[in-house]
Amino acid sequence: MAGREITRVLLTRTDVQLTLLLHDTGRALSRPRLLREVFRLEPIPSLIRRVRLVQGDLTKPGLGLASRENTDLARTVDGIIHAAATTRFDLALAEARRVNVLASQHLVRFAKNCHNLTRFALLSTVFVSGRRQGRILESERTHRAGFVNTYEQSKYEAEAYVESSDLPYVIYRLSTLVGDSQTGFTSHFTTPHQALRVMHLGLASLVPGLPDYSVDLIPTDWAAATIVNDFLNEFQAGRVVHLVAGAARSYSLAQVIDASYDRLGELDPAWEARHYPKPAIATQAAFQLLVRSAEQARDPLMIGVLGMLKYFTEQFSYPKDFDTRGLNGANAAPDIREYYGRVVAYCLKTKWGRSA
Amino acid sequence: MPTAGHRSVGISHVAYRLPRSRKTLAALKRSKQVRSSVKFLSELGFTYGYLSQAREDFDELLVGAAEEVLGDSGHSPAQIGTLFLYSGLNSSAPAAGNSAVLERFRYPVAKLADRLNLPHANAMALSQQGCSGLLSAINLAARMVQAGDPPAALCVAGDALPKDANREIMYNVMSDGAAAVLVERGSPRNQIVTFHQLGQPAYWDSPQQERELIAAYFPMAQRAICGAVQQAGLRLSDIRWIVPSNVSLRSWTILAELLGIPANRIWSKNIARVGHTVCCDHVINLHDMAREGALSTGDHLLLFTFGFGASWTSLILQH
Repeated sequence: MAGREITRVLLTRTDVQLTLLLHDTGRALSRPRLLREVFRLEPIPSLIRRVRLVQGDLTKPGLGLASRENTDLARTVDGIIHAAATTRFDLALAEARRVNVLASQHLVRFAKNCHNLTRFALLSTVFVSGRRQGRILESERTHRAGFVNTYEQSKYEAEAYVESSDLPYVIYRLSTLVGDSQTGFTSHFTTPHQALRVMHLGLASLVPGLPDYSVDLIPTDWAAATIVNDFLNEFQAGRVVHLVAGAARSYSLAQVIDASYDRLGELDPAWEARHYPKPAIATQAAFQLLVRSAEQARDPLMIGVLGMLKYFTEQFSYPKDFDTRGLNGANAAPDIREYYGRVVAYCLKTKWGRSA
Repeated sequence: MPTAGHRSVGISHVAYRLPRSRKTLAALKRSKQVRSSVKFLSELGFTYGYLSQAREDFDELLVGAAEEVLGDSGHSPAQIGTLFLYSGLNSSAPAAGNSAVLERFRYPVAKLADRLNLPHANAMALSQQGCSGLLSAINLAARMVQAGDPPAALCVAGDALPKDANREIMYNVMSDGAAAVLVERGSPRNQIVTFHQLGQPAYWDSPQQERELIAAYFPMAQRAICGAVQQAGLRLSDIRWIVPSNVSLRSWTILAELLGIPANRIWSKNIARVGHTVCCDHVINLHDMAREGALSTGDHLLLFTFGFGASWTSLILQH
């Protein structure tokens, strides 16, 4: 999701030449189609000329490129933004490592052959902090608190690998992306959107966590613009940058549930008339017992609903306060209260991507 | 639907009857009357299901429980102003031709009043509140007793599923059972402190909305219980016992976590021994709690249940 928006910002607000390394799912796309369908841009000739498509696979040695193509690419590249990742929380650790760690290793090896390289960015997550609580500094990564899911762990390991390289790197640790602040648009309906869908279906029962946990959500347009600006204009190698909203600009867990129900009710009177109760904020123990019951009863719908929540919501029991000094006073993220309603409206209008 | 307490009115006598026949979980599994594994249902706290063999046998359970309550109370028939008969199952009458129309006027509650020799009682059947129904009947009875001359009302309730019916509903093992309660002005025990019911009629289509009901159960239960306690001017810590409906022990463990109360304040012994009757669990449990000496004068008791329909109901008593 972030990679698309960063590309879009690079194409619309800068004049840089872009090489996009696409995996198999992008194989059939021409540049005009890619611009229109993926980046939501009119494929005018001046944009088309700035984009070069390369078919590759980061999980394979040499990025899955033929030797000559690899060499040619290494000669021309002067900056790399590594936005490829799986953001699924439910993968087995080996698979998460294959996509998030092994791919990073391959890309770092490639980057070392790029003799003109001046900057390398890894997109990561603030939740590499795993089960830590309290103040989370950008300058610290190592911990023994453990992880809530394999996504966190694999990104933690990818960061370690990049940090140990001698590349001129910056690591951008993003909070949870939730959509465009102006339109609500999202290209991927991730856990926050699916949680909203569960509420709309009337299937929200228990949410584990602390009622006053600060649910840090950031808009994709702000995150992309901030990263592009930092990468092109403020780049200083060896930094880690947190992209978060912060507690003052975030809902608490109880508030985000309230805001979701309020907005769904405004937008969908028929739904409101059903008076679905808001989920109860519960302990992890209570939630895990409910998950276990659904699994033992082999109830596929409830397993799906609760399973979607269980790989992430454990975070709601580990309150964090993220350091943001790495942005050097850049514009703060918009307050969630200013745009969350648009995100909810977009989800509802598109039926969570089913009629986009 | 919150209702103020009836401080001078209480439940003076309770009695219950279970069928003679009961089946273990393994036997229920063999007869295909439960879907889930024995291991799973056992982990949920169940051991047995009680099954009545015939409708006539079950009617005798109702009569037996009611006669015991009346006998224990020593009241004359004239002192019983109201007789409520509650059933939680939706027993819609079969389609009948003209010749059978009178069948529709054959009333079990009148038959029961006759058997109990209560010719002066205002006898009325109540239905369609699932497991909440008996608590609602008690609340209605308390209002009538408080308002009217006769000092007592008799609530009789019970359900029997068809002999070979599925006994597993929403992770619970169902038993047949019958119970009777005498609601009395000046009761020496179990004074009604408050009744608090949250209705969600949008969930009326139980078969189609099973998943939504499962999802709604815990948040609504939390609200119904906390709402009752608040309405009574109490705190959860003032409640000596939660008197449960005998739904799965695991669901009570989850609810205890949600409420922040120790699980040992939920009197759950009968979940394994009896299973879940549609609407009689609280009376069965109250009876057995008193018998084993678990109740002390002045204890606040919170009776809670969910009923299809749907409603979440709490009744607070002071023993």
